Amino acid sequence: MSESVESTPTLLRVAMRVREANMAMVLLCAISIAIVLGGLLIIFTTPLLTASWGGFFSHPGGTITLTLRTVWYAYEMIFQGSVINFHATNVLLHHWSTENFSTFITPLAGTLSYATPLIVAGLGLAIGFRSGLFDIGGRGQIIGGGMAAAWVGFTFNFTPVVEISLEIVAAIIVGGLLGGFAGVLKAYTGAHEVIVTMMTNYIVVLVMGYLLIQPLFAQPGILDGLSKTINPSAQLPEFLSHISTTLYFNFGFVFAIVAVFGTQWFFDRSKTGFELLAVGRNAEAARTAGINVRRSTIVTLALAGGVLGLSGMMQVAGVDHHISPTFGGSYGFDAITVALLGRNRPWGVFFGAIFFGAMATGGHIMQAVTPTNIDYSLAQVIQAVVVFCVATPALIIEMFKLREPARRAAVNAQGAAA
Amino acid sequence: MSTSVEIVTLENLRAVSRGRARAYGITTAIFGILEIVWMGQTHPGLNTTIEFGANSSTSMPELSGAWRVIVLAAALLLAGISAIATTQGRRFALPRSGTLAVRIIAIALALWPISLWLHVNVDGILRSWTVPVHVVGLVIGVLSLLAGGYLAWKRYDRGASATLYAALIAFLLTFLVWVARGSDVSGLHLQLTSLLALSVSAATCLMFGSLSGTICERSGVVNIAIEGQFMVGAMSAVMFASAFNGAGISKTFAVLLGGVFGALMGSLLAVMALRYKADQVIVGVVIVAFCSAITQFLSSQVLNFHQNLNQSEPLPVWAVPGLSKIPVLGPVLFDQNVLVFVAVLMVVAVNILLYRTRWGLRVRSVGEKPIASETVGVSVSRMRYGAVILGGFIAGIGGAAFTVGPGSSFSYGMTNGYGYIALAIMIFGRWRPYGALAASLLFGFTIAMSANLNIYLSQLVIPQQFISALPYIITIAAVAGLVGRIRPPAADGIPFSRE
Repeated sequence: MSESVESTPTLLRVAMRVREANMAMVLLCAISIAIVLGGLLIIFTTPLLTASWGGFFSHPGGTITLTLRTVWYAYEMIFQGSVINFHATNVLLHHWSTENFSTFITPLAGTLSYATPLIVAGLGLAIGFRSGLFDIGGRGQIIGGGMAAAWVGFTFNFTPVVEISLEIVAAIIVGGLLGGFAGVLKAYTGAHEVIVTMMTNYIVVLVMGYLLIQPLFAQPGILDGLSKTINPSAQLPEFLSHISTTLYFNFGFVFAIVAVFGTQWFFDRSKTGFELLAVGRNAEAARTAGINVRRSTIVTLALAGGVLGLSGMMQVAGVDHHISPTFGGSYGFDAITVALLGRNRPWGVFFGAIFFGAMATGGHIMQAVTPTNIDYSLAQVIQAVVVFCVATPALIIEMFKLREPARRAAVNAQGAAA
Repeated sequence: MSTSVEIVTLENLRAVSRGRARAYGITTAIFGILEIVWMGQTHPGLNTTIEFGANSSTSMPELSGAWRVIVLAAALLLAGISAIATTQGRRFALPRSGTLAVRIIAIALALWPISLWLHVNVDGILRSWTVPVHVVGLVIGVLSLLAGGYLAWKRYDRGASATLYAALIAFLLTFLVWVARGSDVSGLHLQLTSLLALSVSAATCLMFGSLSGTICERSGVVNIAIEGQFMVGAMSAVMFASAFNGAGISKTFAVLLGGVFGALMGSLLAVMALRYKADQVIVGVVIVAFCSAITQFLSSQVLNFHQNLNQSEPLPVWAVPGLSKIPVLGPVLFDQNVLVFVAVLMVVAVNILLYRTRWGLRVRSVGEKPIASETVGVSVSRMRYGAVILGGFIAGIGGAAFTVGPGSSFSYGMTNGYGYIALAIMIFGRWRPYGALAASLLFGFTIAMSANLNIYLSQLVIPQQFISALPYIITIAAVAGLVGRIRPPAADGIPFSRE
């Protein structure tokens, strides 16, 4: 089959792929299901629309137009708020100025800067998933890393390079210890890592709440549990601050890309990475082949925790510059879904995180702008549905009657499932 | 859930359970020693007291002198029967549940005349009764030491878990008192009765959740979506009940509707896990993400603007006639929300279902060795579908226990990770309904304690965050096998295909 595909013209080859269950098709179908479902939710929960559907038989045309327009407007706002604002583009094309450029780039910068820590967090979880361990403790490890980085950030005052390196090391160590704790328990007592990491999450959140009101962390004079702000030398440099001071897009993005390459190298080229993959595919076989599964479990969870800690550091040093009681809020869970969405492949995680960043940024714009104030959690519903479909492609394949792909997607599916 | 393989024989099992009894006994004894040591160094000026007693409105039937003796004798007789049934299981067999019931009745009967003798009952009204805490602590310590030592020596398997749970609860209480010893807070009261009553009601949703987990995992499917089933159950139930203004039977239907939505999520998990053989943990987590997103959307999009859709009266509190008058135990066990009784009945029902019916036998066999069941003509996937959907239903009712039960309105995030704690409880309870009941009560106690004692301990040495972390720390200890080795169903979480 593959030889015949090679000889056919490109256009035909693309056409042949349309009914095939490749990643692009599955994603496309998943997004369309999510959009339809989100549209239905909007229709059923917007008072304006439900009222309008009450009078459907007197104005069928008006009702349908209004419905379509409302739903379309919501989605358009998500897009414009996260990728390109059409109005700002128009203005920029007519009159080129830094101010207009800043308005033009704001949505995209927002998306990418929201996505930056998420990319790293997703990579951390992907490491666990690919070796068959479900590290659900993202939030705890992110907080651990963030707290460590913040402590370094407001305690020491070195040159930026030294300071940021120190932050990174501190964050990785604390995150790695939190992950490694679950790993040791898993390896030596068989405690299920899902429950241990979940419980560590809650404990770490409480410990953070405690530390934030202690003199060690608390900002003097403020009682609402904010930590001290980290020193300017400890903050990740901003790229676009010379255009506008309200434009946030920091150096962390470079770290994120480096982390993507690093993860790729780790799994494709390193011995430990190979061992982790082998354990993920079949722990018994790996044991027989002489891999120390216990050690591999601990290393995996510690490594995943370290990377998650790094993402916490990027959140603190790049975006927040301090720790608030809601720090790490939904990042941990979003990172799980990002990893599933990217099917645990480094670049998949990268684009999955950008998708999430876009949904979050656009969702808030949608809530602010739409006349009916559609809640931004609509974006989360869409994310959840998309992830559901991508994590279980069999459902999509059956729903849309897709063919098995020429190159076995089943291998991918197994990798994701493991 | 664990990957280790061990060969199970009857001998092997007995050795394991006797070893466990010894471990439990030693643990209990260590608790006892610690308690004695702590109470020995108690601050002499400490005014901490433990307050026993019921709600002041509860009156108690008077007993004349002769009847008191008769009732006490009856209680002692029953206690003796239960003790013989426990220790001489072979020669004198009562069903396990029967022994438990006899024990509860014995304690209840005994407390009645004893409390009368202690002049608890003045003017026919129950007065609370205060004792200095270090006396109680010392008594508890000595009792724990004796019971633990005896258990470790004789290695009785049947009473082991109950002893350990009781010792653990007593230990937590004394620990708190010990922690509070250095403070100058005078008149520190531990209102034991209200604390215990609160723990029973806090345990309700955990009971439903852990039962759901037990049924699902016994059939070999990991139901990690309990949290999501809680959410949809809680939301749908409160909306339904509010839509009918909580009138008449509508609350019953609201609870059932919560169950139906839970079952819907359960069937989603079942289809994904059984038909498409997707990874059960991943599907479960994604279902939780979906439920969380959709309840958040609906609560901010609908419930925010229609407050009248999000308010419900609490379910009626049912005081069992007679039994609710018993001091301490009465208000704790028999003067509770109707859903609490439903939860306990559900535990009994699930136990009968799993261990006394053909369906239950098949579910268990499917979870242990699916290929064997398939060979004798039991459809593995049909059994698993049934178990997972039933589990979802029960978890949905547990969700209703968050809102309709106590009559609170739905707020996003109110399930607070209890769905995952329920899974830990299921492990703690060794995948058995009664184990789940006991472990739920233990966790309910820690939750109630962390919620309640913050009030008492706010100005004390220990930060409230650490007390709040207690349930989670205990969960980690539980799953790390601190209470002995645990053996999950053999085929737990492994997809089955006929080839």
